[in-house]
Amino acid sequence: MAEKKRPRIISKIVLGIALIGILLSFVVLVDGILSISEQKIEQPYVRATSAEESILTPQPTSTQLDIEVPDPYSGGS
Amino acid sequence: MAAAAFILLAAAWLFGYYRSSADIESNFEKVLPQADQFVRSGSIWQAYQQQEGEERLIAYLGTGTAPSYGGPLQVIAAVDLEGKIIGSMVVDHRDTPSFFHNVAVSGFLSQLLGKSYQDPFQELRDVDAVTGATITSMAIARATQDVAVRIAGSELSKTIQTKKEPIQFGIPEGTLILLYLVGYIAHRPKFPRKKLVRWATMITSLIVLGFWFNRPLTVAHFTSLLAGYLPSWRENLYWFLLVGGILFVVTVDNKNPYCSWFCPFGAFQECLSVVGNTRWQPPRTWRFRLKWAARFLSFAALFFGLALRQPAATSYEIFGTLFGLTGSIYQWILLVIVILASLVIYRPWCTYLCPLDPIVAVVAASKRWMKELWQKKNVRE
Repeated sequence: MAEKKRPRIISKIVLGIALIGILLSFVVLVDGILSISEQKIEQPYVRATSAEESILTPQPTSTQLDIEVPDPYSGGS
Repeated sequence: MAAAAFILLAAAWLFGYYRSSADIESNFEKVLPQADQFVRSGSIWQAYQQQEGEERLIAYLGTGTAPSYGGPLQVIAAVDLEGKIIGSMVVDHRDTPSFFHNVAVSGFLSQLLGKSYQDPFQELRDVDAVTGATITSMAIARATQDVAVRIAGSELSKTIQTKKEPIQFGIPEGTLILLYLVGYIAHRPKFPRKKLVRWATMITSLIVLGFWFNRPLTVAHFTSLLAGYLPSWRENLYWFLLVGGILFVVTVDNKNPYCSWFCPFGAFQECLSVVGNTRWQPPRTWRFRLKWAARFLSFAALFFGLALRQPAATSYEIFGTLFGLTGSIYQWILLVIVILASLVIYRPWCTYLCPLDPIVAVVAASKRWMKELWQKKNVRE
């Protein structure tokens, strides 16, 4: 009797795993959609802070960089 | 139900097509804060600064677009009066958020400062792409170069020499062609040592297309195709070989060699199945429902990917999490579950979760339907 029940229990466990997988896949999908709608899309930018000087006397090697990367993953959502 | 699905996908496509694009002018101040005024002249903006009581032209701004992993990537770039780049900003993209984040925090953009419209902007020559996000990195470089070249030609009256991009053909492209050939020849019923050859293709794919280059097929490829986001074939030949090859084999030969012969994630699960005992299945009554759940997920990924024009963001696969070690917390949890499940279930991802199987099935069914229609038409005639 116990031998007959074992495959049934295991197949139910397998079903549980598959359902959890489907649920998590759905959560990943929704998370991806929310990352768009919550404007999490990053807009990194870079600029030469001494642009005015570099225009008048072009010296790209000595130009100081001001790299600004807003990090949407820091802090709240 | 199939007709309803097609109508909904068409509606999503139209919604995405007419969705508003990125706000451009509000970002000019970030790229060129020293300018007081921006005057539009066609597709270029002139940036002026107040100097000694008069407005002086200090730079030009423009927008550039280049095809990236998930679709077009758009930048704003500022170019000085010598034709050198003095600012660049990514204002819109369709790439996987976690991969794009790696590029954003890498400082890659700083490589572009000081470059001239005459520079080649080529990987390994004057641009170092971010490892694991080469396509995104090069799309930013190309889009920025596009602005510099246009401004140099139209505003600075410089002579522009048009150069053809070299065709990117390397290890991933060569391996993919080889896998297609071996898969096509060896999947025939009477081929000797079929099992051995199949394992060879799976291990090759797992190492080269998986862990080494991280280039598996995802639902984002098909969403991009439906959205019309085709990358440059010279720079992304692999994309065309992968998607075109599968569509060609499925429609011509009715076989899908990718999933069973050289999907790197499928190969990974199959390796785990050797370790465990994978004869278990869910109750018979549930198998049909689980199949429909996978179809629903696949449809949802395509629908939202098209409606929001973000193919990579709605691609819920965990391939990048395994092969690129990047992903959200949910993707990591899902990966751990799939790894554990692979020890007791044969290819759990492929069987119950993968969005590609329903798409390939639809392509194959469409082909059969067209063939039947054609045959009926011929009989009538």
